[in-house]
Amino acid sequence: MKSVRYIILAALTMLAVSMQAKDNAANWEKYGPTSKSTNAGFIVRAGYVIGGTTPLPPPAEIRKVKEFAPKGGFNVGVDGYKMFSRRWGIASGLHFFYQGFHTVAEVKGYYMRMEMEGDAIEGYYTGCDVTNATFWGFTVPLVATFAMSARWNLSFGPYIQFYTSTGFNGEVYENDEGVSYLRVDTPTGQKQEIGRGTNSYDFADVDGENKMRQWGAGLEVTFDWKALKHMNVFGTLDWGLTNAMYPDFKAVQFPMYNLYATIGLAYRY
Amino acid sequence: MNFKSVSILGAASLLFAACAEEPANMECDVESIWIHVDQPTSLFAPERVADTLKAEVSTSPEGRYITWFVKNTARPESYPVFLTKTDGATVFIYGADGVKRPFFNGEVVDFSGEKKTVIEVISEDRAWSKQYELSMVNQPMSSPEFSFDFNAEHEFFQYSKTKTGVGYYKFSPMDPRAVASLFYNPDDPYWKNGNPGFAMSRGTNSTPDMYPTTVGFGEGPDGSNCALLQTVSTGGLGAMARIYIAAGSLFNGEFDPAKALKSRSAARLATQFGTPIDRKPLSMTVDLKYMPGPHYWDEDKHVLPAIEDEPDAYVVFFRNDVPGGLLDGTNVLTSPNIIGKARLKHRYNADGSNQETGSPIHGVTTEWQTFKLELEYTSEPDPAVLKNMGYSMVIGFSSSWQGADFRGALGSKFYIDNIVIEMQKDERDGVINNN
Repeated sequence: MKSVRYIILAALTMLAVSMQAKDNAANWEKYGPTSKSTNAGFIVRAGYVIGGTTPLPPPAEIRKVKEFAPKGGFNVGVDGYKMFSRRWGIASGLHFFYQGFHTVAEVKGYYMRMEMEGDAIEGYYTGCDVTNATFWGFTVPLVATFAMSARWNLSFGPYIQFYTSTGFNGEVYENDEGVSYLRVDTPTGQKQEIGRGTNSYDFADVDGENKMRQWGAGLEVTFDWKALKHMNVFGTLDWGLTNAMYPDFKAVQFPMYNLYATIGLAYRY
Repeated sequence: MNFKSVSILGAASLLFAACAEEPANMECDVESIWIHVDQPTSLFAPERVADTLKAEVSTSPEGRYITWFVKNTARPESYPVFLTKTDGATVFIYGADGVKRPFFNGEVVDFSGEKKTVIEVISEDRAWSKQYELSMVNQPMSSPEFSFDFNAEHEFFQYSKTKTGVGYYKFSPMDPRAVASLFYNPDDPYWKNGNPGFAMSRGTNSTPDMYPTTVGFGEGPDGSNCALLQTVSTGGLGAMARIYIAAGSLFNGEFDPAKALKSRSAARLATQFGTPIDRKPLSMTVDLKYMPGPHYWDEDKHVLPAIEDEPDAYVVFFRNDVPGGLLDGTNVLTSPNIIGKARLKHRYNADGSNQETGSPIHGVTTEWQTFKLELEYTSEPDPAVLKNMGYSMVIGFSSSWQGADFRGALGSKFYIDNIVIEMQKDERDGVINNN
């Protein structure tokens, strides 16, 4: 993690330097709002999405993330903005997205509940857990935007998301040591071995019922860098503050939060 | 462009945040335990010296008793005990003075006079513990005849420590001769069946009468209780292991529910048939009644319309001290170690495989009838090996004769009552045998 810290530090330094460099009136003019009369405009965005749906912080029962791969994902949308001063304004819009991930994690003594057609077994699981999650939907942000410089813009504010389709499925099976079992109800309970293919789960279809929330809300932060007069490079982080699952759904003991970042290009009209 | 790396790394570092410190183990099992005896044959017959080791005592939820069965004539003394346990757990032993002190491998434990010694395993996180009682018991004397009438042989067993009221009936033999001959393990003096596995798959949704093996209250031939075996659905959790039916079963031996829901191949190994015995079985007399379920399923739930489900009842006698000696769901009726067998009649193909048909010949009907199944022997037991418990006997019943291969008809009901097992008499009974 040390190297990560250095990279972040270096990035921030370069950011500050580049902000200082060309902060002059010509730049404010060139990269300012497209419509000088209204101080407003539109930004069309398209980006690549990476992230996950995770308990925060990850519980100690998750011993090792063996595999992680983003699924999809993309985010396209349009934002309207209105600047009230040279530096301050607000923005809102509509972003369609497809986001998801695939992960393989080793867990130890992880309390879980398997439920199928009304039959249930629960207890402490040790083994390997594979998860695949997907979300289709759209986001409506309402953010304050702050021009840190002529070319750098920071937006921050709440968002609300609606999902048109959700998926959260996976299975548990033997870890590298061949271990995969549940201790029923308590750590001294009956040992129940669980083999590959024998415990797949689908939280979007638990006896025909979707246990995933069809909406979410959280905070959004976006950095825009105005690379050209009409072209931005941007990065957005959507940090979910609502549990992605219904809280009464006992299969997941921890609240799960959507945490997805988008990197992309934007066109400013 | 650097902010991109910032936000990506920011998100990534949150997602992969170095996992928190490994939590301490919560389990507290003895995984295997063994005694060191300089001369194993002083305690165990040559055929049974492997009995010094008890493996995998962890899978039973209680695991309260660890009993070494020794020869009838043996006089146990003090022996060093060794064990393996859950990582991080600590083991304590209660001394003769009742004081708890740490246990170290090689600790000498006094087993004389059937003394019992308690050890306690405490989990690494110190929140959980389990006690085991160690003892050494002389193998009881078997009887030339014993019986089971199921009138009062059941007790309700709650399998979950946290959910009250969920459980099933266990059958404990009442005839002391049967206990001495086949059910002598004080930890587990019960008929075995698939109920512990069914409890895992459907336990939270089932009353005891819905289990594959249950009590036929007042349904015996004389109006008293009998055993009722029924072929039932394993529900959603069973289906995930592609196991759709559970046939009711009744046998002596071991059932390891840890494997029952894992997969088909593992489930066949969950059943370990037989108990060592020092007499040769001759016959089983039993009252039977059977109603096949309407639709016969193959292992993938396809209905086989022209086939009728059949019950099974058998006694198997086999050599237990040779490699592959134990019988499981794959070979209980076919192992080459079997020397004697009695079984309800079924049709077989020319190659000896089971023939599932629409015209069974077992003769069990919807009315009670008494059947006498006599064992046929391919070779005579070796008297010396027999004396040393080198043979085991299985008494087995199933509500679907292909149930071990997950084939059968939901709703098949097999009623069983008044089992009488006749064993060969010998010099202990004042009888001299010529063979």
